[in-house]
Amino acid sequence: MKIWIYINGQQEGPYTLEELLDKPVDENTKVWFEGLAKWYPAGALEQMRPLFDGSLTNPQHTESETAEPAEVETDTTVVTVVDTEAEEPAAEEKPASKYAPGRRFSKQNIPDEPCPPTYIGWTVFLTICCCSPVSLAGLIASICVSSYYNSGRLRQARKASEVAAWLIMAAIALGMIPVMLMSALFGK
Amino acid sequence: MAAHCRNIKPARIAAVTAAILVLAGAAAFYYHADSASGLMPRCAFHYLTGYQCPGCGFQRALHALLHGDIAAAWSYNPFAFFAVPAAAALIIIEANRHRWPRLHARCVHPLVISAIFIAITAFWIGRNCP
Repeated sequence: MKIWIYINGQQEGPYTLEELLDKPVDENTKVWFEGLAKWYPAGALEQMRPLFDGSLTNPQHTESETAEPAEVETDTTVVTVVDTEAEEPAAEEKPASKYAPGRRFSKQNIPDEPCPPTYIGWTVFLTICCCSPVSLAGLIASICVSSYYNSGRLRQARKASEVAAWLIMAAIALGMIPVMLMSALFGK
Repeated sequence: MAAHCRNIKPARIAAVTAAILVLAGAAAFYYHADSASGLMPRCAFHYLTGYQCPGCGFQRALHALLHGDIAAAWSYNPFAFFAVPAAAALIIIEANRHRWPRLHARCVHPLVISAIFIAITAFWIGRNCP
């Protein structure tokens, strides 16, 4: 993971998480890496937590400071374990969000704000009652709202919710108006 | 909060309108409709493709149900027996999400919604297989 930091009025980087140990980074330092919409204080980011909770150790420091070869061996194993912990979620992180990466649809990805309306009841109802490509598209939009929201992509979820609402109205118009016209023209 | 209220209100208006339409439609259906009259419009999908859509037979099923013939209704469209009550329940749950937040969260979970979608698609394909 390449991390930029904002220090003394200018940005520096890219650094790895380990390199940041040598920098004067505290929880209020603004940081940015690929996937973030803007600069965030390091303390607010899940990915920066290893810097502050002491779970990350600097490989160069530990190797240079330990003289005995036996201890170096144990140290490297520790470092690799820590490395996978620190790097794996970052590599997995595809959605552009400040929320903790990891398994899709896991609880920690759910944004603080309430889920935008999915209109799932309406889309199911319309798919059954006046089935058209539009109502089917509405159903897919409903799925998008929920899966975007549950993977932390609130902005896309809102957009999908809006699309779903429009598709529902279009499906009602497309489905109901011909029904009414037909019953008016051909009904007894 | 304001954005949220803006989302809720049209849904409520639509729900009331839909309830009135459903009641009026049921009354018209009961008294006037039979399979030959114009109150039972052809399904556009069926008209165009010759295949049945997931909702095909729903109107005949509803008509049969209103006249107390459950067996005939079931034979017209068994899926609607589950889907329509489920859709109604989902609409009510979404409109009352503040009252039942945990139930709402469970019902709009992506896995649940995807399962609904898969069920509809499976029924759609299944009923068109000879």
